[in-house]
Amino acid sequence: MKVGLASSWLLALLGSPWLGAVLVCLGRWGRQVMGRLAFGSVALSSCALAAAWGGRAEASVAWQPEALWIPPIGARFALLLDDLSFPFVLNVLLVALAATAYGWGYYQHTERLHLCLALTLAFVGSMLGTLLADDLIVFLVFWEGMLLASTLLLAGWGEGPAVLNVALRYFFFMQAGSLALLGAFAWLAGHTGSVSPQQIADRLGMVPPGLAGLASVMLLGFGIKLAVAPLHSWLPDAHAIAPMPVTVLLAAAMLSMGAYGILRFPLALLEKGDFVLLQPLLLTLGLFSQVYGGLMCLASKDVKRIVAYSSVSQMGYVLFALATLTLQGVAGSVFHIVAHGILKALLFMSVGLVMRATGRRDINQLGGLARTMPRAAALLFLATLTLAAVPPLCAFHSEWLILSGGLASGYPLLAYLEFLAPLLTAGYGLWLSTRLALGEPPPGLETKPVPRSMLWSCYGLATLSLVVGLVPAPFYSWAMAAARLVLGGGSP
Amino acid sequence: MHVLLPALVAATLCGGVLFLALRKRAALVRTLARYLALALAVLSFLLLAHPGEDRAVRFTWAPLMDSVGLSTAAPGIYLAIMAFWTLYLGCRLREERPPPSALELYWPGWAYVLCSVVVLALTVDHFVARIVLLDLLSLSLMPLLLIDLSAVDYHVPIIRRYLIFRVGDSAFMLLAMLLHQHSATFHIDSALASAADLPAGPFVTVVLSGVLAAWVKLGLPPCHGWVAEGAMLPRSRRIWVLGAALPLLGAYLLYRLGPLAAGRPAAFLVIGVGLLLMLWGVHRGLRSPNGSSEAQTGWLVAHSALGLALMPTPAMRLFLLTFLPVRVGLCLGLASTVLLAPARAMRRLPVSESGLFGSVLRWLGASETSLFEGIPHRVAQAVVALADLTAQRLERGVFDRSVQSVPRIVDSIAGSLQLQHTGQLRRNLLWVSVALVAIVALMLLWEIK
Repeated sequence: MKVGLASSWLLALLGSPWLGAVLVCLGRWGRQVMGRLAFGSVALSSCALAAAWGGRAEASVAWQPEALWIPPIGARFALLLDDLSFPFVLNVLLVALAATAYGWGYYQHTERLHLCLALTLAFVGSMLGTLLADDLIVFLVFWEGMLLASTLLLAGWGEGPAVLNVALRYFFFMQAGSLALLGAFAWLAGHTGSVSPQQIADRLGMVPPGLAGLASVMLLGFGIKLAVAPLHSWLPDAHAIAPMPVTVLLAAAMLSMGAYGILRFPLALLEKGDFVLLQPLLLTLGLFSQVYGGLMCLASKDVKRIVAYSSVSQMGYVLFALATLTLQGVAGSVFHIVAHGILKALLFMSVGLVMRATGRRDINQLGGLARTMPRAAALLFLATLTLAAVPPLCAFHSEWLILSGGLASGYPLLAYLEFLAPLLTAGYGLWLSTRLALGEPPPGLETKPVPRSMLWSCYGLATLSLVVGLVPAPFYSWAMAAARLVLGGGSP
Repeated sequence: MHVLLPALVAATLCGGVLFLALRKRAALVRTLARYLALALAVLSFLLLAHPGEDRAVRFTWAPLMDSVGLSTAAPGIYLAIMAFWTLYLGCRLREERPPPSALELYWPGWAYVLCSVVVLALTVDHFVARIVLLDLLSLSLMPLLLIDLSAVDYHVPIIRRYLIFRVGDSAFMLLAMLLHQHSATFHIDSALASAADLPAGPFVTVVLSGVLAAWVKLGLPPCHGWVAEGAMLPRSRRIWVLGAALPLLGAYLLYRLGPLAAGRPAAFLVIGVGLLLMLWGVHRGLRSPNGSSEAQTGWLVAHSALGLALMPTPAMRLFLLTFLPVRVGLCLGLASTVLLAPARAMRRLPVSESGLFGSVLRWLGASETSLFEGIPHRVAQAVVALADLTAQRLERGVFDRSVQSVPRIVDSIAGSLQLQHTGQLRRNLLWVSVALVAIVALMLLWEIK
């Protein structure tokens, strides 16, 4: 077994949220202590990430036990933190830190808080496990864990009349995606005789022709998680009913799992030639998702659903970037995942401030917040400007990479059309923020003070958006390294 | 000398931030803003000492992108100087209308921020940096156009205006990316120089997207809605929104793209479209009531369209150099009365305008070696001696009246551009022409040297 200091940090990185979940669930703590425990375990995991990545001796950090976990199928509990998984892990932890800090104030009157926080931490732990898994079975186990934890959170703590229906729909949609993945992985494992991605990559020559079909099945499975139109119908309702910290995790972190899956498996395992027929289709689908999500934002009235539909649009950018199959495009998709994580968490959390303070969520019953809640209005404006990729905020850089990747993709017409998509994004983003912030407050609108932790976690994300925009160099490097790993061919 | 341009920009930006912070002390801010603007405008002439040299600080913002620097090359540097003078002129104008809202207090500081962004955008030699600055400029204009937050349905005009600006910015981004794909550089001069070798398809896209970007910034139809709205703003804001901000950068972009279109069949198309739009603008200007925002829009569109028509010709340089004075003249001259701030306001501070000039000249003399690098020694000595002598006299108040006459000349030109009515277009245009001829002659003489 390869065990170095960095490898031990890898276990700490994955184990902290799970340990936190157990502690929160089993201990008899006060609300404040439970909130701090949840935040602390994610913070500990973040420190472990810094230690593992900073202290690595090679390009990646691995945990490779010699003993098999499930001997009959050769599965072992192997973990890997490499150039591809690092930006995604960073994104999940940044979002989880913001969400748990926000939840500190948000969950003031929530019933069964210990279970809610334990499931939240299990959700975070499952996402980390999915990203770190270096074995198809481990990947699938954490993938399902992610689904279970999020479904229970939706069913148990969702807000609204049709919570169970929405939770069930969410579960079945996700399960359909998981089944597609299970089928694709089983086919790969059957032909290569291994469940290790490294060995599968080495033995791809043993696989019979028809890899484009395999890629399509995997894209379907990951596409549901990515929530690109038309595979998105689980998303608006699930995001709308979930408690705000869970919504933040769903939108800003969990959607990125779909992008990670596409990068890690179809794109990294298969050759460019396998995507000849799929590429224009995926580019078009990405554009369609951007336009569809944007139009649905303009058509919605519920502020949470508006922000939820913007995720459909933003994941369209990610799919378009992935489908360019160029270094800039793929790097752009990775950068955009981080930028989207920051901006979407900020957007949901600032909308959450408004909902908490006013008790309303219909956009027609809101307005004039620049007068009544100037800080929330400023945060909302900043979030929508980030969404619109206004420089020097963080999404400008990812959008730059995506657009230049589009131009290099060999499909100039689709690339030129992609230049129009940010206009729609800016349009619906400004529509949301100006409708909420400007004008006169509607009659009877009263605002209550919001807990400080909710406000401060928004400030943190706003600062992060500006810092990443002003000092983008490390993020460029990480995104380019991930893209090189994916497009370099060979093992993931 | 190599730090003068960044220093001027930094001083402008810091001034803007300071005035925004002190906005509640409106009288003090107005006076301070006027002083600082005058100092900046005077100092900006020193930028002419080394035209064509690229000596400013360079830095790398992001990997994959070349380093960013400021260029003192003509004609960008001339336009930057004019922008500083526009700032001063704007600070000297007193508005006849009452402030519409508390946000009016933000204006002096905002003008400084606008000026710094415009100067940076004119002098930066990097495509990505210019895109960032153009986008920031588009955003900065929003509060100017939309100052009253309590209006009903405000979101519609905000979105419409911003999206129009964004169309231009996206077009410029497409141009930059296509040129980068071909030349592998983001340096504007190098990338544009390589554009002539582009294959036909990308070449046409580059020229079209460049023209579209300039089109939006100049407010040519059908993107002229914001011009009509800008024409209703108070004068001090109007000269920025309709002159020194986006329109100036649009004209500059046309000038840079001119060599690409020259001598190609598309040039006739551009000239034809420009002339047609000019006719449209003149027709609208003549048909609408004098002084109305429609009439102003017509004349402004006609002026912008002239630039489009001249784009593929050598006359574009002349158009560019005269752009800002004409625009400012049109903005001031086509509407109602211009009022100047009383000179008393300038005397509230312990330093007089003469004292300020004296300090500038003394500083000029003190930093003889670095400032006059490249200028013949005898000339430099003469300038320093003259500066020293003048500074001494100034301290004794000998040239007080003469020195004060400098800003008054600017005032009187602005004042005479308009007497109560807009009907006196001939007289207005006469003054505009005199000012133009003087400025263009100065600029050309400098360049011929």
